[in-house]
Amino acid sequence: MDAEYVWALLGLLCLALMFTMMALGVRAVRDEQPVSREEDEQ
Amino acid sequence: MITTPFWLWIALIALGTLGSLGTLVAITVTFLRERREGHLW
Amino acid sequence: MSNQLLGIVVIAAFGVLWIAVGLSVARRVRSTDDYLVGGRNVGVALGSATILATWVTGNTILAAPESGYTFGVLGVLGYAVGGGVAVLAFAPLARRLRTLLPAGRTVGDFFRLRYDRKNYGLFLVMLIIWDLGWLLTQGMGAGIILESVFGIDFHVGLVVTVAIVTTYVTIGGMVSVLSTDFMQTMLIMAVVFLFPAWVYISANPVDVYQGMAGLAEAKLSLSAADGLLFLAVIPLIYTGEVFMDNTFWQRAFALRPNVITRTFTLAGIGWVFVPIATGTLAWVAVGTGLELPGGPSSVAPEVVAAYTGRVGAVIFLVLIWAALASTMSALLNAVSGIFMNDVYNNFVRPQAGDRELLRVGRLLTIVAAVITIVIAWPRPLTLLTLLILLGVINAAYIPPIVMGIFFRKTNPNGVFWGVVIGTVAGLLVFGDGAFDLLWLRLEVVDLPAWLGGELQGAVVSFLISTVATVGWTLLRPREFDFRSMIDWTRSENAGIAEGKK
Repeated sequence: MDAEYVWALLGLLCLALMFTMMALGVRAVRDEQPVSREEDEQ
Repeated sequence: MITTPFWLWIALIALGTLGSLGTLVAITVTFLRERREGHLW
Repeated sequence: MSNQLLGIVVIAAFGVLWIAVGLSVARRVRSTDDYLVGGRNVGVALGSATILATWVTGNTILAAPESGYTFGVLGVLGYAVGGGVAVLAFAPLARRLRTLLPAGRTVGDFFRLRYDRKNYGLFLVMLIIWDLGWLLTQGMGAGIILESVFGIDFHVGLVVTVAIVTTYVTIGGMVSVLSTDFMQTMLIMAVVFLFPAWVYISANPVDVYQGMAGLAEAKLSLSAADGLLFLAVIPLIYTGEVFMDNTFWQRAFALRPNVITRTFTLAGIGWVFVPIATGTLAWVAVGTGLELPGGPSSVAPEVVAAYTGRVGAVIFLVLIWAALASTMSALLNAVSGIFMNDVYNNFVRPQAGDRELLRVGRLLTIVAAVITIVIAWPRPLTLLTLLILLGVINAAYIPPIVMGIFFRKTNPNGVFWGVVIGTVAGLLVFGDGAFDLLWLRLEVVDLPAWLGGELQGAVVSFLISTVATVGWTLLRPREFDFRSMIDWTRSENAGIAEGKK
């Protein structure tokens, strides 16, 4: 029973890692955004 | 054990119903606008 | 009119309608590009409708109530939050994709250009396994619902459903899917709003709540360990599904670039309401001690039948049918896209011209449909269990995709071994030390009890994949020039041009 709480926390950790990866990624490309063929946000 | 109180329980039921209706309306309104503007696809 | 006959009439009527609509727009398909990404200029209305239609599946209507029955309140919350987060999280990826791959058609294009051959091959295998599994759940859902509501034999329901959908998807591809999806989404949202209202008005909410408190108090819990585990892990699995699936990538390529964020946001938020609406239906079964001869998978149709009679049952059937058909159509088109754009055009005939590809693609759609029928025929696991099993693969692919889209230095070897080891370990954890596949169970190793569990499998696969991908990249960064991907185009006459490597 107790083990499941630990796994639930691990699951939350996974989500946190995932969002961190994405946030870092979005920030990384924002600085080096190459010129795109399509019109971006207007 | 933390139990879901009745108000939250019933709020969830209402949320599912009304939220679905709201989404239907939002998409319909957008569809009509985009069709008028020729921006559907 | 007998129930069976009524069911057949209803299915036939809608089947004819979807086919007619699908075929009427099919003449817009002039190229493989149209067939797979429908013009690349889709607006918010059609775009959010097609995302919703794809992501509201038979599972959303049948498995969300199942988790609402098994895990109670946390089951509904987990399912709803999980699916909504997945779509919302995809928005930034979708935006970036359009910049990176202006000529892209499938997720396979990304893997081929971003990583090496072994990664590409492995990904295609995993993707096909995942998509066939997903198709399997839709096929099974069709058989189950037609059997439970109308007494139509499971196999008949399966075959008829697949046949109807395959007809319009084969001819019109993405264009047909977009138009039928719009109609199906309008229908789905209208009916989904109707049923909780109808059922709860008939069943007196106070009685149901008190029934739950008396008969199954654990299901009202917001702190139950198994429910919290579900709430924590389902978003991970669903995000993995969205991030690696070709249905979402095709839609990213199909949308008009400046509406991408708006569309995925509207679809993501709108989607959340659907499993809440259907999931809460299950609570009536819990609170009234309703008998479920068909098992937890059939809780929603059983509740509907009990409280809304025949008319309600027919409308509910139409809802599920629309949800299944729309997802199945998206999947058949997406799978044929992978078969034709990646498998055929890369490994079999790289020199294939556009007309040949289109012809082959249509044929491959039918192949995918037949495979669906064959694997759904023996009626394996419950829907939810199958999703969680496949979730091991889905979760393992999150790091490769996120790291590959945003970071220049991601190491392909880290990606590859992360996925392989993560998936194997995850499957073993899922099976409590065994490979627990659909038709067979292979005992491999003795695992301690705390290290086993279905949802735990996805946690393990994600963590291993993350550690391997990130770790290897930090130790051995491998430079990649995104320009090569951005500049990649398909040559007109000779199929896919080898842009690099």
